[in-house]
Amino acid sequence: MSIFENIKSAFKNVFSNKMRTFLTTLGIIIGIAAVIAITSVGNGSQAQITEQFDSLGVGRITVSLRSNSPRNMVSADALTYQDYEKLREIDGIKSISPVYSGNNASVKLLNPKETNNASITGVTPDYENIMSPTMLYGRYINDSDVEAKSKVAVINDTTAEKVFGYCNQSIIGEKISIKTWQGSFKYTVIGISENSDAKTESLYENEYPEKMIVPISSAFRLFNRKTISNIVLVAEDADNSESLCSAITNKLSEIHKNSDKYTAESAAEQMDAMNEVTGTVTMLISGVAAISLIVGGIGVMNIMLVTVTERTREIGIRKSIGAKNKDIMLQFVVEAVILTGIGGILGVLFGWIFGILAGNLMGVSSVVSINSIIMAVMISTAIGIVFGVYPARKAALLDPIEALRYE
Amino acid sequence: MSKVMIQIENLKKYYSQGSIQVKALDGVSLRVQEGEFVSIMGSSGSGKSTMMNVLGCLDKPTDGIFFLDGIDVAKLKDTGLAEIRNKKIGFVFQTFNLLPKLSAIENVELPMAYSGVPIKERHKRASEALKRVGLSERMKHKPNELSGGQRQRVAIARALVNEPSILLADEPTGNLDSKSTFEIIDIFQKLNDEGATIVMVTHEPDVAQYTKRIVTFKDGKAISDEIVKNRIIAEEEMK
Ligand SMILES: Nc1ncnc2c1ncn2[C@@H]1O[C@H](COP(=O)(O)OP(=O)(O)OP(=O)(O)O)[C@@H](O)[C@H]1O
Ligand SMILES: [Mg+2]
Repeated sequence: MSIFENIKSAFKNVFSNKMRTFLTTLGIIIGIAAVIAITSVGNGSQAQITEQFDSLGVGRITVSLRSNSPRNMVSADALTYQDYEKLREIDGIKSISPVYSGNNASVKLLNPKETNNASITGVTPDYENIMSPTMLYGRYINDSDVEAKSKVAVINDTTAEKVFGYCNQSIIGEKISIKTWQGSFKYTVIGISENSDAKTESLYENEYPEKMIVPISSAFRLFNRKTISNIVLVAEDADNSESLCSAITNKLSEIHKNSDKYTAESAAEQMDAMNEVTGTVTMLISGVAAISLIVGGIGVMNIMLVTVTERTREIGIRKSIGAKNKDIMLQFVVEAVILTGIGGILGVLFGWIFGILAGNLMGVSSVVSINSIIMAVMISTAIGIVFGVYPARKAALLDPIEALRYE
Repeated sequence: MSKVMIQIENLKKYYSQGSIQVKALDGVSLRVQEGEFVSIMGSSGSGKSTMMNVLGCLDKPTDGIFFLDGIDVAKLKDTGLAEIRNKKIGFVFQTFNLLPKLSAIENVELPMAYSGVPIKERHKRASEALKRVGLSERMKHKPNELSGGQRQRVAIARALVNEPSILLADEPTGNLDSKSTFEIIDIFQKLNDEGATIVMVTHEPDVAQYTKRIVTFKDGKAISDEIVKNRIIAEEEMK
C-alpha cells in the first residue's frame, strides 16, 4: 500500500467525522494560529521599527541627563548650551545640535486659530542634517536665525492643517501667536516639513501637541531658560558610535565635575532594546503556543487511541488478508499526521486573519512570511508523528486473532 | 504423488484460563494434498476454529509441526506470517469480515494493495475475481447494500484474488439460508475443480457431503478421517 493510498484513505476517515476532527485539532489550530499571528504582527512591527530607526539614521546619538526630572533640569548637572559648544570640538562628529523641548502644557498656540497645546523644540541648523526632514515649503532654520534669536518657526503639515486649515506655500510668511507664561509672541512660519509620524498620530487625532521647531536661542527667550533638554548628534562613522558615546559622557562629567550622570545612547542601541522587548513578548506568547501545541498533540493521541480501539476489528481484517505491522503503523501515523496537518492549515488561516485584525488594531502591518507557514506545517506534521506513533504502534502490534474476535 | 499443501503433526494449542488449562487442540496430525476439498466437522468447542486459525497463520500453536506449501511456518515472525496470509492463504470467515466503508471491489483489491500489485492491475484482477463468484453487477456496492450470500461471495473473491495455495473457510455458510449455501458450495466445488485446495469447517453433515473428505474433531483431537463416497455436485442439485 503506497503512502499516497494511505493519505487518500486517511482523508476519507478523517472527513467522515468532521466535528470530531475539528474538536480534536482545536489545540493544534489554536497553537499554530497563535504562532502565525504573533510572528506576522512581530515581523510587521519589527519591520516598522527598523524602518523608523533607519529614517532617523542609525548613527544618531542622544545625549541626556540620566534622570531627566524637572528638578535636575535646573541643577548644576543640567546640560547647557556651553556643553554643546564644547562637545562640538570632539572628533568624529558629523552633525550636532542642542535640543530644547518646550513640551509644556502652558505653551499654547493662539492665532490665527485657537488650537491645543504646542510642542516647541529649539534647535540649531544642524538638526536638519540629523533628522533629515522632508521640506515641503520654505526653508529650515539657519545660523543667522540662531544668532539673531529670530522669531521664526518650522512647522509640519499636520500642524499647518490644524492651525490654518490648509497647507500650502502661502502659509510661509504667515504669523503664529505663541503664548507662554512669559506672554504672547508672534512667530513667522518659514518652512513646512512633512510629518514623519503622521501614521501613528492620526490614531490619536487630538492628543498630540502641534509641533514647531524654532531656533534654540529663541526657545531660550520664549521659556526664559538656559539649560537644554538633550543633545543629538550623528557620528561620522556609525561603527564608532560606542567610543564616541563614552568620549562624550566623559567630557560632560569632566565639565560638570560629576560622574555617571549622563547617558549617550545611539539609535542602534535603542533599537536593540526595543527588539529585545518585542522578542520577550514573542517568546512569552510562543511559550503559550507551545503548550497549546503539546496539549493539542495529546488530544490527537487520545483520539487516535480511541480510533484504534474502535477500529480493532478493521485492523484484524486487514491483518488477516496480509497487512504487515508496518502497514498498520503507517496507516495510523498518516492518519494522525493528516489530523494535525489539517489543524496546522486551519491554524495558519486563523492566525493569518488574527494577525491582520491585531495588526490593524495596533497600527502595524502584519506580514505572514513563507518561512512561518513552512514552520507551521513542519511543526504540525512533527506533532502528528510524535503523538501518532504510540497509538499506531499499539494498533500495529495487535494480535490478528484477538483483533478479529473483538466485538 | 501430488504436492503436500498442509502438513501438521502433533499440533497443540492450549489456553490457560486462570488455573484451568483448555486444550483447544490436543495433538492433531493432518496432511492435505494439492487439489483436495476437505471438510472439518465436530461438535461445538471441539477445536475446529482453533485449528483453522492456526492453519491461516492468524494464531500461533503452542506446540507441534506445521508446514504450509513446504514452508516451516513455526519459524516465521510477524512479517513472514503476514506475507503467508497475504500470498499463500485465502481465508473465508463465517461473519464475512468485509470492511464496511469500502465497496465490494475495493474490498477485493485490498489484499493486492498489501502485496504491492499496481493499482491498474488490482482493478482488473478484482473485477475478474468478482466475475468468478458471479458478482459483476454489484462491484460498486457497499457490504451493507448486499445480501449475506453476496457478501460471502465478495469475501471469497477477496480470498481468491492473490491466487493462494490454499483456501480456508470457517463455517462459510453458517450465516446463510439454504439457497445461498448452495451457491457458495457450488463456487467452492468449481474452484476445487479448477485446482484449488480447500479446507472448510461445517456443522451441517449435508454440506460435508459436497466435499471429498471429512475429518471429524472431538475434544481437540481428530477422531476420524474418511473419504466421501458419493459426492454430491451442487450444480446438478440446483437444476
Ligand atoms: N481465546 C480463547 N481463550 C480461551 N479458550 C478459548 C479461546 N478460543 C477458544 N477457546 C476454547 O477452545 C476450545 C475450542 O474452541 P473452538 O472455537 O476451536 O471450537 P469450535 O470447534 O470452532 O466450536 P464451534 O463449532 O462452536 O465454532 C473451546 O473450549 C473454547 O472455549
Ligand atoms: Mg468455530
